[in-house]
Amino acid sequence: MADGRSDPEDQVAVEHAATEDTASAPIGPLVERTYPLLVRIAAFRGARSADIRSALADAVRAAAAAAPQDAERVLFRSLIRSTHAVERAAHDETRGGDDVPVVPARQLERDGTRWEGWFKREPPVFSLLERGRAAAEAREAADGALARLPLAQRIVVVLRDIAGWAADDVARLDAKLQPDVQRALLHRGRATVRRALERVAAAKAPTGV
Amino acid sequence: MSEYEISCRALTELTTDYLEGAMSDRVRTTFEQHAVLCDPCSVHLDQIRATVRILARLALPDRAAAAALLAEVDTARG
Repeated sequence: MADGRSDPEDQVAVEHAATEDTASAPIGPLVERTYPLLVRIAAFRGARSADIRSALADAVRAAAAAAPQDAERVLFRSLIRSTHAVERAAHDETRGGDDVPVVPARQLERDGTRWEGWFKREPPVFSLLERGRAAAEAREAADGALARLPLAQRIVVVLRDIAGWAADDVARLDAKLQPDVQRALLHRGRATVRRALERVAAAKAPTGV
Repeated sequence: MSEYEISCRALTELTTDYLEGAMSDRVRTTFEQHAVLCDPCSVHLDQIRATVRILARLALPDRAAAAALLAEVDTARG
């Protein structure tokens, strides 16, 4: 992940900007369009609002100094770098939890087939969480879970699942975020959010499926 | 027992690979066979799909806050 060192591509972008009229960079629409994503990347549980604003402002300044075609990439990359530094200073990155609610020792016999590892209980369906008042509760739970994700998972979930970026676009932000790594991070991140949603769903339908 | 049987634990670990289309045909077939036969795993897979849909609805426009941030940066730049 970002290590705070200057990135050669960013340096090129900044040098380019030094020869251009930076005031004309179309940074406003870009920031307006991406603001919710930027906040979700920068905001982790326990983060101070001043640190979040500082990271956002640094990223916007870097993007404004970049060539227009590089602005979006520089914006996210700078934000990730700043957030990483702040988050590392605030606390050690916590590991994503194990997402497998199973009892490994037990087996299920069903239609003549035994599956090793069985769910402790029937998982609740989520259809209830996508409509009515429960939808707002679900979004709130997902929001909270997102803020608790380690940065690398948060970046990938925000960019892939919320922003809808392609795996290749995310990989261009950081060479370490190759598609197979993204899948692992995405899986852990989604699993944490799923658990938060499951608590909401279980409260709504305590008897499960 | 199927030659390519996977456990519930393995299936839950493979859901993202499945949804991302990052599986061999053989593993995908095994995965789908298990998901069809196993109700909890089928629900689990639906939960992950619903999680992705709910996440996709989180990004709401916040133009006022974005404008405030831009104004703050502009002020700092002079």
